Amino acid sequence: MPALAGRRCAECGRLSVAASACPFCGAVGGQSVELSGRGRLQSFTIIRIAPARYAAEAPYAVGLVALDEGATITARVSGAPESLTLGQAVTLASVDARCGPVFQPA
Amino acid sequence: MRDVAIIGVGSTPFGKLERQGIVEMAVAACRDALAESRVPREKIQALYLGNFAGERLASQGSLAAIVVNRLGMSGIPATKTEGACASGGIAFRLGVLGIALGLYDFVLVGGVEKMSSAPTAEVTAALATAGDETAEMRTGLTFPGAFGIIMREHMARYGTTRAQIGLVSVKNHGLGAANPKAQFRKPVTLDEVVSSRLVADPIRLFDCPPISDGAAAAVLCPLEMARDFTAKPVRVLGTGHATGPATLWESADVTTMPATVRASREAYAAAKIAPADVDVVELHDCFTIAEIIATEDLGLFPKGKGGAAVEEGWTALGGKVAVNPSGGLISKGHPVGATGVAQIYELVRQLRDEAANQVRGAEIALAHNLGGTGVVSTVTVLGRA
Repeated sequence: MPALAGRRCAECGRLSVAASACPFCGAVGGQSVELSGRGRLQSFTIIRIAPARYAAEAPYAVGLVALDEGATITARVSGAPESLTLGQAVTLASVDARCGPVFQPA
Repeated sequence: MRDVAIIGVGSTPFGKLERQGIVEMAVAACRDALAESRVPREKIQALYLGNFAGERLASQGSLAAIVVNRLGMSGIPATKTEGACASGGIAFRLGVLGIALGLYDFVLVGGVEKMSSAPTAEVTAALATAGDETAEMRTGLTFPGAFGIIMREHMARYGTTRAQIGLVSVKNHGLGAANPKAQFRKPVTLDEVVSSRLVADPIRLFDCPPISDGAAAAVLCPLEMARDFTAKPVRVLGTGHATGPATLWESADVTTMPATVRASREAYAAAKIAPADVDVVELHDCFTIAEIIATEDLGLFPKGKGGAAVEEGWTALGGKVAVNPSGGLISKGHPVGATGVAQIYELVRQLRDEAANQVRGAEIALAHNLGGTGVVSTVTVLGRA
């Protein structure tokens, strides 16, 4: 079961996903939080004209995932893109070295 | 701070200008603006040139310095400005500040982009560098994709319809048809828009601007000197420049652009006007939904009502406020670095009663330029001198 690492910033208190410093205020340190990987699809798109490095993978879906813990992440969503719906429950499926966390319908 | 005037503007046509290089286009637009201003070239004291992807798409960096050489102005300070699609607007604002603060009396401002020499996949990748690579774009999200995410949320939250969004494209293509500088000179029907090829669901081809080449330029001087050069100077009433969230995930609400809101409030305050005073707008319709959102963020219509506004004809040429009489980015074209200055070009023509799609009696004009998914914005308010 892959894990999603989060950070609770000691300075501004905001929760963010996997970064070396707080993306909101720049503070380093803070508290490591292990995230469940569960969330809802706040919005999404289906990329049909892809940048050169991902051309072979089109069409693929990229979504805004509102994680249960309160942070939001932009991430690939696997599965048939046309079957995705707004508000749908998703979970973390894997973490890809090139494109980052990949979610799937729950 | 001195008042600033625009005394000359120039623009190449926008399109796939196969035989024209990036430096050549910038020089052509600058020469046209200079000729119109009647300022002798030796009086120009600085160049600010907007450009986003010259290195990557045209193998040409160092653009501002090279262009001053080709204009016969070697020696003066030359600055290339970058702020994604707001590169041109930033160049314009710096030119204004240079005169307002008394550093210079005569400034040349320009913007240029050469995009058609590279394959589409490479242009797509270059445009994506306006987003945050490690924090968002590495997912394979593209700019059409980012606005697809935004469009889907705006529709879900406010009930904005596919048809309302499509009508932005119909309006802008219809206006572009009459604009001799426009890349697309053909009206389109709503049916054609909503059945055009999917690029990044729900964004379709006619929701997008084309890949374009082009350049635009303007000559600025203190208002008190303007009438020595032209009978119809245009006055810069106010400018604003602000940043916003760099990614979609860090934004509290992707259906609004805080950079637009902040930059416009700064410009309105400097110009001492309210949104309702604006007669004509050239705003950043990088996608059809971006026009709807911009009309809301600029305070022209309430939040969520931008779709209804275009459907009711309130943003048409004869409407409450004319939006994108040039045809906008969607029809006129979007050579990225040139766009902010091309908006100034159109609005100067409007305020001189010389525009292709003339807004009758236009007194107050507003230019809105936006970079990325709202990471930066400039807003300029212009009036008759």
